[in-house]
This record gives sequence, structure tokens and C-alpha cells, in this order.
Amino acid sequence: MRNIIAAIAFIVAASAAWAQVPPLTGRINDVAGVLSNADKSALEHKLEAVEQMEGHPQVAVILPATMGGLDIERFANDVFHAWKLGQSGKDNGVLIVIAPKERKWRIEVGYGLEGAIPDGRAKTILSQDMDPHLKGGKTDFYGALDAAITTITADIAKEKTKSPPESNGEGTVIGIIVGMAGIAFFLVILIGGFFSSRRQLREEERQAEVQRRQRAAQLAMEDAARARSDYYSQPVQRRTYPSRSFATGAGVGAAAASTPKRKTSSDDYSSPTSSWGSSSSGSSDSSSSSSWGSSDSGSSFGGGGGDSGGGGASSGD
Amino acid sequence: MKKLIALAIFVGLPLLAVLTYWNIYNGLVSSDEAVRQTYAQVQNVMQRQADLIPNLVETVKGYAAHENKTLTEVTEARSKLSAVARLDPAKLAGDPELQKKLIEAQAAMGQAINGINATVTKEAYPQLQANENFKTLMAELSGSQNRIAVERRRNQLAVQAYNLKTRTALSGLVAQRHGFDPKPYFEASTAAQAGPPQVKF
Repeated sequence: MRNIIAAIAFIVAASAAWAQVPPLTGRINDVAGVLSNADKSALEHKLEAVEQMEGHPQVAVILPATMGGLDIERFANDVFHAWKLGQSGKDNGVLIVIAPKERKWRIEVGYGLEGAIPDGRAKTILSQDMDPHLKGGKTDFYGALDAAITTITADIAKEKTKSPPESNGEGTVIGIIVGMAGIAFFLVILIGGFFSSRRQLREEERQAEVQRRQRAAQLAMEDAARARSDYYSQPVQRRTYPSRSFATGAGVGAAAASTPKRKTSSDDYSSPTSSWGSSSSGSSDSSSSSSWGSSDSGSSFGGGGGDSGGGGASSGD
Repeated sequence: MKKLIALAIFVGLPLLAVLTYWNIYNGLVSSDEAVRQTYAQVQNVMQRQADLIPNLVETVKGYAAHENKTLTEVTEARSKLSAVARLDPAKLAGDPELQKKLIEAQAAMGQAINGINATVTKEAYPQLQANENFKTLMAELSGSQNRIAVERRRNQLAVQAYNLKTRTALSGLVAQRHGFDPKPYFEASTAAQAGPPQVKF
């Protein structure tokens, strides 16, 4: 009996750990109701265009009625986590939060776009594009969003053109071999682990993700160390950080070798973008990995989508 | 027909028991591993922050040669942070003393950053305030504090999930048999609870 009580207490505690997040209703989530319909659709169009870019990055906006007493940093991260912005394995999402009631605004950047929009850059976007429309009690939410989205789009595009081609001939061959090994491995797992729960598989997937992030962080550190003090004043040739995907030429060796080879058949690169509306039913599989903000609970191997580790910057009155 | 039922009971039930046991055991192993990974991730973002400090010191030095105190503080905070970032995550997961060190290192860094912030804003180094390098660095540093907060929260969730497994009915028994002890929580210090330092210019 005590065990059960303890269990319930834990479950309650665990569920309390993530904030209550408004449901994802579209690219522009104007919960506070401060945007006109015309403004909303204009912004929607802009964001749709972003998703046509390489890798199908996703930018979403929320204007919460209230943040429930949370810091904007915490709130933004919880919303990002719940909405799973960005494509699975690439974490290429950006969330713009403007809290009209609390008079705070923030750009939260997914793990995968921290190279394109580092915190310093996010701060610059805030002070150049958003603050002039908002600071000092101003309420030009549309102006702030419009300017910020324009800059963010340009930054993402710049990063894409700077990165080396996704795959060359050799990379593709390696990719195919790794892919085939992956499929074989997958079959073994499928037969052998018939009874083990889906949750366990997700767990492993997450560990692989953590390893990938560690590698990415390490590369970022090396970059920082190498560039010394002129790091921020001069354009730096950025690397592509390893992603879980096997088609990425250079990433294949280090990242792929240590990851459970399950995602190989996923079509991150080829699938058409943007089917809207998230599902929490968990019936989606890896082929729907580019659906918009597909939500939690057990989509078999692809995870739900992107995540953010708190990158970005905040501003406010 | 009766034979079939008997067979089902004598073969099926033990098999089911074994598979359940196996499943629970694997679940414990992966939760345990997840906890370690989240510690590693916390250390990662700490190291990331530590690596930004030399740049900051270089930038500030050029403007405020005599302001040595804040610079010494931040350099000390950096070496503490680097030291804890190199600890073995597996050891960290079971040792509240080491966890305390980690938290203290982060808090010290937060204070050092706030110290520089205060010096620059109050004592007016207008050129430094306007310096793009400096602004960017401070934004990156406070972003790092926020990242640490995020990863620590995820760590707490992982520990919670693990501890739940070591205490609930069936898996608790398996956990006891194989020495999966509940893990201490990586609690927030009061300094760290105040949230990431704000950068205001």
C-alpha cells in the first residue's frame, strides 16, 4: 500500500515538472488574442515559406494569455519541448514567445539551429527587430514578429548555404551500407525484443540523442577555443554538427556508429513538408517525421520531433 | 483439452514470468543509464560555459585593466566549473557530495557573471557596454546558465523516473535484488534557483 501511495506521489510530482502548455493549434498560436486575422495570416504565410527550405525547419509563435507565473525561459522551453518543433533528429525549430501580459519576449532556439542562431545572435535579433516594437509598453506585436521572422529566416538560410553538401558519392555509398546494416539490426531487435516495451526503445533513442549532443557540444567548444577573442567579430566557418541521420556525409562515421541503427529508413530528407495538426495518439511512424509538431507518446522510432536545450535569448520591459 | 490447458499453465506462466522479469530488469538498466546521460549533459553545458570565459576576460581586459577583482573571480569560477565538468557522470549520479560541488560551481559562476554585469553597468564603462563582443559574450553566458537550468531539470525528471521504478511494487523487488538503489536528487541551490542572470544594457 505504501508503495502505491509513493508511486502516486511520484507520478503527481513528475507530471508537475512540465508546465501546462497550450495546445499547438498552428504556426501562430495567439492565445492572448492580440493579433488581427489579417496579421495572423500574413505571418502564417511567411512561416510556411520557411518550411520549404532545406531540412524543413519550423518556426512557431506563441502569444500566451499568461505564463502561469513561470520565467519566460522556463515557459518557452516547456512549450518547445511539448510541441516538439523542428524535424525529428535535426531539432531545427525556433519558437518566438511574446507574453503580452507579463511584457516579456523570447526567442527559443532548438538544438539543431544553435549554430545558425547562437544566443548572441538571438539577443541581437531581439534588440534590433523586436524591442523597438515592444519596449516601453508598445504593443506592435505584428511588427515585432514580422521583423524577427524575416531575420530568423535569413539566418537559417545563410547557415544552410554555408554548410557543406549533404552527401557526396562516397557518403551515399557508406550511407547505404550503414543503412542496410541498420535494417538487419532492426530486424534482429524486432524479433528479439518483441516483448520489450516501446518505451524502452525510446529510451535508447534518447540516449543516442544525448551522445550526439555531446559530440556537437564538443565541436562547438573546439570552435570557440580555436577562434579566441575574434570569434564574434569575424565570420567563422561553422561546421555541420553531427546529426543522427545517416545521409549526412561526414557525420556517418562518428555519430552513426554509436547510435542504435533504427532511424535508417526514415525519410527526413525526402518527405514532403507540413502536414498540419499534431496527434497524441502515438500512431505516427517515422515516415511522418516531418509532420508539424507531431506530439508525444510513442511514435515508434522517430521520437516525436525536435527539442531545445534552452538556447536563445530573452528581453522585456 | 485438459492437457492443453495444463501445458499452457506449466509452460506459459513461467515463460511469462521470465519475460516480465527480463522486461523489468531492462527497464531499470535503461533508466539508470538515462540518469547518467543527463548528468553528462549537465556537465556538457557547464563546460560550454567555462569555455566562453577566456574570451570574456580578453574582451574586458582591454577596457578595464584595473578592474582585476571581477576578472579574478570569474577566472576562479571557470576553473571550478571545468573541474566538475570533468567528473565521471556515473560517480556523480550516486554521490550527493559531488552533486553539491557541481551546484556550487554553477552558482559561483552565476555570481561572477552578475558581478561583471554590475561593474559594467553601474561603474559605467560606456565603451565596453557598447562593445559588440562583450554584448554577445554576455548573452551567450546567460544563455549557458539557462541551458544548465534546462538540463538539470531534465536530469531531475530522469532521476524521478528511475526512483519510481526502484520503489514501485514489482520492479522494486527486481531493483533490490540487483542493487539498483534509489538515487539522490540533484537539488537546486538557492542561488541557482534565482534563474539565469539577466543581461541588461
